Amino acid sequence: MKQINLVPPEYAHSRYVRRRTIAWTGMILSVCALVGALGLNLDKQLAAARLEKGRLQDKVRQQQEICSRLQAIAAEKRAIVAKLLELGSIQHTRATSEILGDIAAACDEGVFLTELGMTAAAPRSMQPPPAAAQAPGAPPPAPQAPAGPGPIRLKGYAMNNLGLTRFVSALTLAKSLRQVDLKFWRQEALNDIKLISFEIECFPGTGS
Amino acid sequence: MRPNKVDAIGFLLLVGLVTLGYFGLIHRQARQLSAIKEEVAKLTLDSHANEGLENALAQDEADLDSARRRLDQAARGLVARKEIEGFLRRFASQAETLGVTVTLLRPGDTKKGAYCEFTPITLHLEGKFPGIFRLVEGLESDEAIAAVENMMVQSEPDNALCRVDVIVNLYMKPDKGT
Repeated sequence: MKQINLVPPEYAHSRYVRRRTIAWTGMILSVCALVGALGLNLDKQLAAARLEKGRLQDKVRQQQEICSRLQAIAAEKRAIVAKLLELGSIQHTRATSEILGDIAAACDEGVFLTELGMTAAAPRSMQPPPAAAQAPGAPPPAPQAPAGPGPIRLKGYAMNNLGLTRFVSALTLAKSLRQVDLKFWRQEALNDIKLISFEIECFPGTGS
Repeated sequence: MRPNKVDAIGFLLLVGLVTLGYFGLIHRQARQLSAIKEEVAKLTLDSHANEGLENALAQDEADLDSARRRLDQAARGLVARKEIEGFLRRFASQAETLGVTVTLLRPGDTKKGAYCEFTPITLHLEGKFPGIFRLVEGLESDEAIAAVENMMVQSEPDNALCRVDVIVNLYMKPDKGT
C-alpha cells in the first residue's frame, strides 16, 4: 500500500519543535524544583542550628554568671574564715584563769610564790594589705598566724628541795602548761629561815 | 539560525544562569550551616563541662549561710563602743564583791584588729589571790570577749595581799563598712 503524507512539512517541523520545547521545559522545571527543595531544606536546617546556637549561648552565659557568683562566694567565705580564725585565736587566749588555777593547784604548803609574770598572745593588729592584694580581682590575703604567747615566769621560795621538786612535777603535769623549766634555785635565808629561792619558766600549753 | 532555535538557546542560558546563582546561594548557606554546627558543638562541650555548676552554687550558698551564722554566733560576745563604760562598771563592782581593790582602771586607745577592734584596759589590783583568781575567771567567762594580754602578780612573804598589774583587751564590734 502506498502512503501519501498530506501534512505540510512546516507543520510537521513545528510539531517536532513544540514537543522538544515541552520536554526541555519539563526537565528544567524538575531540576529547578530539586534545587529549590534542596535550598529550602538547607534554610530550615540553618534556622534550627541558629536557634540551637542561641539557646546554648544563653546557657553558657548563665553558667558564666554562676561562675562569677561562685568566685564571689569563695572570696566571702575566705573573708569569713579569716574573721572566725581571729575570733578563735582570741578565745584561745582566754586561758589565764585556767593557768592560774593549775599553778595554784601545784603550790602546796611548802612553796610560796613572790612573782608571776605572763604574756598572752598579742592580738593581731591591722596590717596594711600588700599592693598585689589591693589589685582588683586579686584573692584576699591569707589569714595571718597569731603571735605565740610569751613565757610564764614564776619566782618564789620553797621550804625544801622536796617541796620544789613536787611543785615542778605538778606544773609539768598541768594541761595548761608546757616546757616547764627550772631556771635556777639557790639556798637563801629569809627572816633567819633557810629557804630555797627559785625561778621557773614555762609556756601556756596547747591543752588550755 | 531559525528564530525558534535562538529562543531556546536564550531560555536555556537564562535557566542555567539562574540555577548557577541559586547553587551559589545554597553553597553559601551550607558553609554557614557547617560553621554554626561547629560552634554548637563547641558550646555543647562547654555546657557539658560546666554541668555541675548549679549544684555547686547551691551547695556553696548553703555553706556561706552556715559560715555567716557561725560568724554571727562567734561575734555575739563583741561589745559595742558605747558598752565599754558598762563593762568597766560591772568589772569594778565584781572586784568589790570579791574583796579586790582596783587602784587603777584606765582604758587605752582603741586599736584596729584584722577584723574586730580592741581597747586595752590597764588595771592595777590589790587583794588576796583567791579573789583575784575569781575575778580573772569571771572576766574570761563573761559573755563580752575580754582577754588578758599581760599579767604580773607580785606578793610579799609577810603579806597575804597580792599586787596585780594586768592589761585586759576588750574586743569590740567592727565599725560598719570595715
